[in-house]
Amino acid sequence: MMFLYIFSFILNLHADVPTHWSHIYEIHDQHEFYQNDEVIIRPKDSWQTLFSLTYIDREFNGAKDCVYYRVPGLDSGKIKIKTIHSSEKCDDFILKNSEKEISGIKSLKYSIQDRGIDLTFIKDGNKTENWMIRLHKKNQKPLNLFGLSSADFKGAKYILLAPKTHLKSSSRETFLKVGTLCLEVNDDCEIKSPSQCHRCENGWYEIPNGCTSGPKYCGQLRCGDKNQPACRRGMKWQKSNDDFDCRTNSTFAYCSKGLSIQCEGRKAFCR
Amino acid sequence: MGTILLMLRSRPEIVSKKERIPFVPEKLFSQVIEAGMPSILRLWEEGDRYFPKGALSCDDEIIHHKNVGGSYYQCNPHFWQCFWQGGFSKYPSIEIEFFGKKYHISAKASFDPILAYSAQPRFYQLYKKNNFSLNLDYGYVVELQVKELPGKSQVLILTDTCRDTYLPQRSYGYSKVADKRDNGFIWDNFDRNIFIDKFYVTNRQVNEWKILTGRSDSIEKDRTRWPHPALINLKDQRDYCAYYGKRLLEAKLFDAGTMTPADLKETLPMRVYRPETPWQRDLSKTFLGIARINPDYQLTPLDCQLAEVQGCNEKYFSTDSATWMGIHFGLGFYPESLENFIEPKKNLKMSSRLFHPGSEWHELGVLSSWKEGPPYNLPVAFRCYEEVIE
Repeated sequence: MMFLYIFSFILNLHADVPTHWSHIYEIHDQHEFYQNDEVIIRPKDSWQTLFSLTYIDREFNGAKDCVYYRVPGLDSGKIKIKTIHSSEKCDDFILKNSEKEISGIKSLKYSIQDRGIDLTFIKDGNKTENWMIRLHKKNQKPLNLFGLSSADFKGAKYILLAPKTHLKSSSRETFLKVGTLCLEVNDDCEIKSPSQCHRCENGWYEIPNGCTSGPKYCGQLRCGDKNQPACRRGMKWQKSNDDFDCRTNSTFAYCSKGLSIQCEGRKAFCR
Repeated sequence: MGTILLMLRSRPEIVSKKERIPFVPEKLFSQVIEAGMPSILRLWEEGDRYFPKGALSCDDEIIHHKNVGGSYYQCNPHFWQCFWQGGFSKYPSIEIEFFGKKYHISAKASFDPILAYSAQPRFYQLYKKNNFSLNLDYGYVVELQVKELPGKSQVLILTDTCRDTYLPQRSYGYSKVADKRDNGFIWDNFDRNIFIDKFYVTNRQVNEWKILTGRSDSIEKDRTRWPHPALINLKDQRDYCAYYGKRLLEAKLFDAGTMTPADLKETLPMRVYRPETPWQRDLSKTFLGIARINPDYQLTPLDCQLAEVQGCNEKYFSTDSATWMGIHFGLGFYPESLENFIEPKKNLKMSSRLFHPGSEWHELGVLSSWKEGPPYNLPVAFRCYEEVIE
């Protein structure tokens, strides 16, 4: 009897919204098909990733709480919350053990809005839980940037840190070496993948190629010198609609006095 | 009977449905902290407003001199340390009212001493990016507590929102032009988010860099010099800026930030004019122009606020020399190191307090060459800029 009492007490504890969810900055891994406020009934007896919540812990680790749901079928439903590194994928951990589980769920629905997530579930015994998960407000970037600081531009006057997660520092997260391409832009001016330039230890530099954003590399900017990339001059001061490919119009770049631009494909260098 | 059964049926119980005054201590604590953040940020960003009229009692952190302007105390960790260790008042706290009840927020001295400063536990810890979860290169970690809710605390990073300011996207001119009909070197910064330091990098900031890079023994120890510009060699200037994800300021950006555009709304004007001073297009109409004609010109306090030249009293962190986009010290004050990829030898803004107001160095777009070491031992200040990728 005593055991049952303790067991039900633990279950009740598990049903509380995790307190560190007051430090949530972003929502990721949203389920592809489930709609807001749709009661989730299929596929029965399967584990689904509903969404994940990202935050920063006291050790400055980017953490992510993956919220999984086993849809009720032959067995009742279950919520599982697993904490992983923010760079990892929830789907890779869907069948792994988790830190928190809430069993005996009869039905569940949720809705994702700008301010956060409302998650409602009914447990055996018809007890309804309503979790309101609120995102930590990120400052909105003003339309007029005049007088704005770089810290304000990045959207944070302050960053709340959640308690320690006991996540080990990810070995995948290392500074990129000097000279590493951190933003790839192809000859059609398409950005091939999200910028990794925040992983440069001592800044980044661009090799101008006439695109709105040129390819970027880790390291200190030393443009305009002999055998160095040319410096970016811009593509609007000319007031022309030309295609600013180095081989046809290199006015988007410049070199130091006495040197001239030489092209390597679209990219401008100084010789 | 049916009615009684209906009343006895099992009904869904709503748990924590409405957003109201929380009865869970953790929730109440986090909501009090959230409610107190505007006041905490005011203390951090506008430290000068809290500065007492009388003497301070935190000589390890601040030795105030009246020639240091209030801006020095904005986003300043030594101000934060002094405030919370009781340098201003015996029991410092930020009082806020939340749902009709008063709460008192304070910082905790939970961080190890920085022995280069003092043996006191710190109310902040220097933060430098060591992984990539945060889009933030540096900041100050602090821990807050609420007197009425003991046993709980909140750790957060305060960012430096006081340091730099945005360079609007438009076309700009570099340097002087020989002929006013000539447009000279024109460039633009469209699609680039550039932020320029408002002031010179100080000894206080370079001290932090040295502490973070394990060179605490070489910091500037004279507290009266902490607000002064850091006078370090060119390599260190570049390395300092790069360490924080920034770059040494470029000559063309300095010109852009100091030469007021003729029309702020016209971002691609037909002609890009080159004003001769940050506050007046025509230098001859300013005290600098008059001093060129009259070598005995008597400087007024207002002149020295606009440009600290030879004969002015020293002032640090004065804000009266603000340019059109919010940086300071366009002319006068210290010689300033500038990266110049257009004309690499022109890497020094020579206009400074070293020269008579009638000197021809006192004009925008006029640069010199900085040769380090003797016999050219100039006190050369510097500042950084940051380009942010969206």
